[in-house]
Amino acid sequence: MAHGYEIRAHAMLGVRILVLAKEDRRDFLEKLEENPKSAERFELVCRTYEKITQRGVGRCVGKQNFVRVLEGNLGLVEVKVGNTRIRVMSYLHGFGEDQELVLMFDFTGHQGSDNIESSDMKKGRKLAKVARECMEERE
Amino acid sequence: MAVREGRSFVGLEARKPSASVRMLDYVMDFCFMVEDRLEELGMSRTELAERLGKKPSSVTRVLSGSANITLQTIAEYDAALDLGIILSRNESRMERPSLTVTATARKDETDVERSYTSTEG
Repeated sequence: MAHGYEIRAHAMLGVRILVLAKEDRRDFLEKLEENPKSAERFELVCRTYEKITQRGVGRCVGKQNFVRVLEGNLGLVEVKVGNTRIRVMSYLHGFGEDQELVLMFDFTGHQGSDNIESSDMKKGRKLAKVARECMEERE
Repeated sequence: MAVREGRSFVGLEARKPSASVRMLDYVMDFCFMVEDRLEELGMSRTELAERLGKKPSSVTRVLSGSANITLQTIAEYDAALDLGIILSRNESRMERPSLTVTATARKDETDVERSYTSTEG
């Protein structure tokens, strides 16, 4: 296993949501689901994932789209949750029509500028490498 | 093997969508609908902005979900692209309402019927 991490495939609304998680620990999506205060955030993230998957991940990727590429060489992307300030740092695996999104952690985007805190970027870079290893182990 | 089966979020499917969730549906459906229409017409976002009499950045903000999309916005885009948007009510109140593109609303196409309802599939 890649550094004690694994990819979890949660089933929802006919799609499989891929989430990076530490082994034997709850991932961010499970934590969101369990906390009543974040139930809506959880649902918004899931619905967004569902919509992007149904449309085709590749069609939603772009500088000004719902999946914004942050660092192409790492596959590090930011998923914008509809028209909200909720963002999900994610890893984009594969090419073309076979692209898959692996969610890593959520954060709140900066209103207006779309800037991301350097600590979130640092964490994102580290986890994107781990997510890639996990996805490659699968193949 | 670094991928394993996780939970099943079945409860989500039965939950009645809140206003925020419905808004997310509307915004993403609208953005996808406009992008599809631009592709069909071979039109760029810049050309759409010109047709709307707006700055390209304004169109970008709308299509990336960053702008506050109002009924006025929807009507303007509908008029510019002949989207044929109708607001329809679902028979089942548990299902999410949708913005629907119908074939009859378009002058140049007769065989296109597309629904952006999120409940299918």
